[in-house]
Amino acid sequence: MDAVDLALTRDLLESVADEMAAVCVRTAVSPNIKERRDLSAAVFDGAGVMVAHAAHIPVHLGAMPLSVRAVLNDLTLRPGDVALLNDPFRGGTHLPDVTAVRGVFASPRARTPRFVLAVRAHHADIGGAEPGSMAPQGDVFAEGLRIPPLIWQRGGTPEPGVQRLLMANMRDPADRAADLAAQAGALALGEQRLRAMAGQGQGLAKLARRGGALVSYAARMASRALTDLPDGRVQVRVPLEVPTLAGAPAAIRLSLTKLGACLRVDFAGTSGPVGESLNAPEAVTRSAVYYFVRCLCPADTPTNDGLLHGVDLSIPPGSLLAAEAPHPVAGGNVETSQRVVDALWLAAAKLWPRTMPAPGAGSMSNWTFGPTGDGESFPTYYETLPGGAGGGPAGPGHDAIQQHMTNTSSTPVEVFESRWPVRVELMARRRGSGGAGKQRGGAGLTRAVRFLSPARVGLLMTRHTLPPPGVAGGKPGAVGRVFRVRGGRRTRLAPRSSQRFEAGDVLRIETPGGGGWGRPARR
Amino acid sequence: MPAMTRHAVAAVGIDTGGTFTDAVLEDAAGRRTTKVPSTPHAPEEAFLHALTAVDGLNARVRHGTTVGTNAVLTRRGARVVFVTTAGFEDLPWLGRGVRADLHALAPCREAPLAVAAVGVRARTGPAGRAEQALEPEELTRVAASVRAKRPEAVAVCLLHAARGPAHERRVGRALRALGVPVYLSSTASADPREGERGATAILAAYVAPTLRRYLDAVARGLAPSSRAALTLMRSDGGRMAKREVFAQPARTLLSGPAAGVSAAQDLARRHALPRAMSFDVGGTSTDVAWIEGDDVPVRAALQVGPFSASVPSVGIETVGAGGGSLIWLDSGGALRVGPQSAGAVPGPACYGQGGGFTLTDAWLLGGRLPEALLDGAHPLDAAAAERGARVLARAAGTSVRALCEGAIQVAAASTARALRLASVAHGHDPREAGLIAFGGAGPVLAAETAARLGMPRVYIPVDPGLLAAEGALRAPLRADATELVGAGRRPDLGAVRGRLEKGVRRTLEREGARGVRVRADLEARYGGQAFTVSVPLSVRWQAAFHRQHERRYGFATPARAVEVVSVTVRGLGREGASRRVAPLRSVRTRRVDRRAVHRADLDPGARLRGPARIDELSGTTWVPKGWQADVLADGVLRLGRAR
Repeated sequence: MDAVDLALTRDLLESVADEMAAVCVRTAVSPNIKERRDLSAAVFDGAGVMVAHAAHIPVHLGAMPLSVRAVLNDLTLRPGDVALLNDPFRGGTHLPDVTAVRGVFASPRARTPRFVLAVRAHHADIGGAEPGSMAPQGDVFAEGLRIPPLIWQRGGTPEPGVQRLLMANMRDPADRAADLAAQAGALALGEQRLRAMAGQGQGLAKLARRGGALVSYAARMASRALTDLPDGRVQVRVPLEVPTLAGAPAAIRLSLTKLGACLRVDFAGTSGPVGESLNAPEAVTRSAVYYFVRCLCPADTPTNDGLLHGVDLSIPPGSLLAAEAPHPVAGGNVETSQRVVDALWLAAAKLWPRTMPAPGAGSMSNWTFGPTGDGESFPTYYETLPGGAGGGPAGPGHDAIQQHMTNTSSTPVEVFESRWPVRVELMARRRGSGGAGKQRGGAGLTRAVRFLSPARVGLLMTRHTLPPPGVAGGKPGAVGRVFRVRGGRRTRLAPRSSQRFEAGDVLRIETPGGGGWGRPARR
Repeated sequence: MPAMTRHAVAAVGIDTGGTFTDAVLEDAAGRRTTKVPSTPHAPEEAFLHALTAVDGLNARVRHGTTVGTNAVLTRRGARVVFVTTAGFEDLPWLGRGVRADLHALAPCREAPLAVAAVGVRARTGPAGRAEQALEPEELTRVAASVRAKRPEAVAVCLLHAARGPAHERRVGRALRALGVPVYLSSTASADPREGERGATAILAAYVAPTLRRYLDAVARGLAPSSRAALTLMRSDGGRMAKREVFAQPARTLLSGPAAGVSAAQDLARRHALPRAMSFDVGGTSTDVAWIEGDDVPVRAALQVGPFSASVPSVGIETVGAGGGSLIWLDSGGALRVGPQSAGAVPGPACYGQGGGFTLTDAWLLGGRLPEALLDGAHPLDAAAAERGARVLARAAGTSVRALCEGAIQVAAASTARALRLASVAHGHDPREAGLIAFGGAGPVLAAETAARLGMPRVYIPVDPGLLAAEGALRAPLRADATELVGAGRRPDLGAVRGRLEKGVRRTLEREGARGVRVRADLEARYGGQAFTVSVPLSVRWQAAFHRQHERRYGFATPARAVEVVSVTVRGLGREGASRRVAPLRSVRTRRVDRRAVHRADLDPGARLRGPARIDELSGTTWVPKGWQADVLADGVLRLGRAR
């Protein structure tokens, strides 16, 4: 395919993904989808190879292809069908992320699709023990409703039994139905758009071949980017802050080998399942690798399966990076995903110190609070907090910024105080928290919130005992800390815990700083 | 000539762009236009040059300027000190915590426009009531602390000032003694989000001194009678008096694009198009907007480069493709157009100043442009364009001809994408809309872009490269006011509306507007939800809310409580009485068999079949093969598929 066709095909297929995402944002009702844009839309060929992706949330990158492949393996999609799934052990990330999948067929009687479309969105609730379906639980059953790949819609309408089963297990069924309808609407529009582009007759087949060329195109860009980096092999061990279920110290082990245009990513030696819901489904680990390779490529590289053509990825089955049922996974998606990127970053920083910055905060610093059950009536609150970025060859790390697998906005103080019984007392860069170095790490964030009513506060954070490492002689960033301040007395809290706060108590969160890069100058 | 408002006194619209400064003057005798090179080092020079060229020094001047925008984009504005609630001094540095580029190895955000911050020890709660008093000694301390930071302008944003501005106002009064402009967030915007409101106040403070110096220089060049009548384009497609500009500088930041959309809306109305999209292609970028109904589309915020301000603004989508966009091959072997651009200097290769190969060069080699632009005043160097094309064609393994056609198609695809985002993403169907193309490069790209979307008709106004100046000339005076409504108690919406309307009318009448029309809208939401729906304020607003919610989100819950978030009153009026728009008369169609023709040589009724080129001073229209162009009664060109 020539240079012009390539550009035109890219535009066509990416615009289908963009439009699906835009329509879903416009018609959904979950704040997660509408405001935090926690969703992804992608176009696949008939065999489930991702050809175009509307990038919002990196943690969906590797998960979308696995979800679509699970649907194609388990089900027979027919024209007009929409499949649904969120199963973390079949391509899902964590339960609130629900993926809807639709095939685009050349004719109403065709057996195999020419294209497959998918829209994944983070629903505000998916049932389970706690509102929001994000709190750490003992097993996946308590986290929420698990949906294996199943046919949800036939010919444009939900299967009544399936719909009733789904809705019977959600806390706000009207909102859920609206969010799912938004996803289905986006898929229908995507199909319409693809058909219009393909025209009549053999158009879809031809367009599918052009999609294949787009995958090779991304592969060429990734290959060029990898070739330009020095060859080498490095091993790193990144310890986790929780032990394995067997009680041994847990760690991610990574052996990274770069030769020519190929990258071998091997997690052999990584520990088995851990507690506190920090197990990562395979989809999450793949997403981290996907994201890492994409970061090495030029700014406008398309995100499709071609990025991984030169990558040989090996994840030991049953390890904490390829969690198996029934281990809980809510924290794996938000915290362990960051740790996988840390491992890749650290290894790359050793291989390519002139290119890579040091690892940053490495935690999404998730926290939630809600009613204690004593009659308070305010909704559950959830946010992720930014931390310091690592220093690097290009300069010091940025202060208090969302990194790697997420990029969601903080809630404005005025909105927060208007809708919840709180007063924010401090929100500032956490001075001195960045690791020292030739280029210092960025500062974390300090946030102090006073509760005006009793509340149940849940924390899901890491990097509170093991700091973000520095590289090339740089010093580590400061660890994160959380305090409860009651009557002037500070009590440090466990980073993954849940406790009652009384009216007047202050929650003070200090997020980790970034690691330093290079030996600090002598004073 | 378009059916138009007659101006008893001469009125002139002037638009300062990056490359050219345009003027359109109308008086009893008719219409005069000019296009002169911009003078970015001293934009008032080109302004006065253009004004003199149309003999408009005594006219009522209506101006769209990029002075504020440029100060922001080049970061050459004032030294701003930010004053906020103690504990939140880092607000401009923190933003909402997100990074600009998802996949950057070193994540970052743009540094804020403020250089230092000072905290005020006082606190207002979410209902707007003081929870910690603001003591007089604290005001003294804050003033001294701000002075020590040597500001050229000050922005003040205290928490919850949109609901309870008392503290903010007292801080503002205490700082006036410093002798530099002070902007309060509660005056700059009613946005109930401190980051957005604070950023708006910072932008206002940042551009204010630059705007003042510029407007003073401009006023010195005007006849004394014209000075008082100087009005500026607002970002929402209206105009405001110079005095209002100093009170609300952030409102002018998108004045150029707003003028274009306003003029396109005017054209849609005259041609009775129920739906249209504006398509404004300049040197570096393309701005598009969806137009429906009898008013310009307005959004609650605007974006200038990486900065945003919560002030009403025309809703536009922008892509980085324009006439000066560089054409290149990426590392995967695909042909790309933009976002890098050759700029005004050196410009495209065919400007003969050593510039790279651009879209303009592809148009020239592809037969879409004449040998000289600006009616012959600006000759183009086809050989230089060809040299650039050959290098690229060799690398891509294709011919120069295929390369140029390909680049044009890639550019059309990327502008089509912007049109889709402005329509489909908001639930509109572009195939139902007419495409109104203008800007220096809109008419040459429009038909090929429309074809990609199945848009049936393209409209090219007379003087398409002067449409922003035309828009400034015709835009009404506008004013608006917003009040946040307290949660909980049932608010007296009628009283809020009355209060706001009085203020809006007073502002407009002070500016000399007659026939003022106002409308009131409210933002409401279901209790517990974060996003709002805007509906007209009437006794039946609740029913309208449920209907609108159903339309936008596919469901409504009439049993659920609805809460009002804010009320906004918008008003518009004009200085003179405006004539009714006369319906377009129909004209007899006559075929003209030409491949290239000057627009002045085409009378109403003329029909050209593509491929054909229609040249004029301010732009060139390309009629592709399979398309035809009709000259309508008012001189507007209408392009569509040939039958």
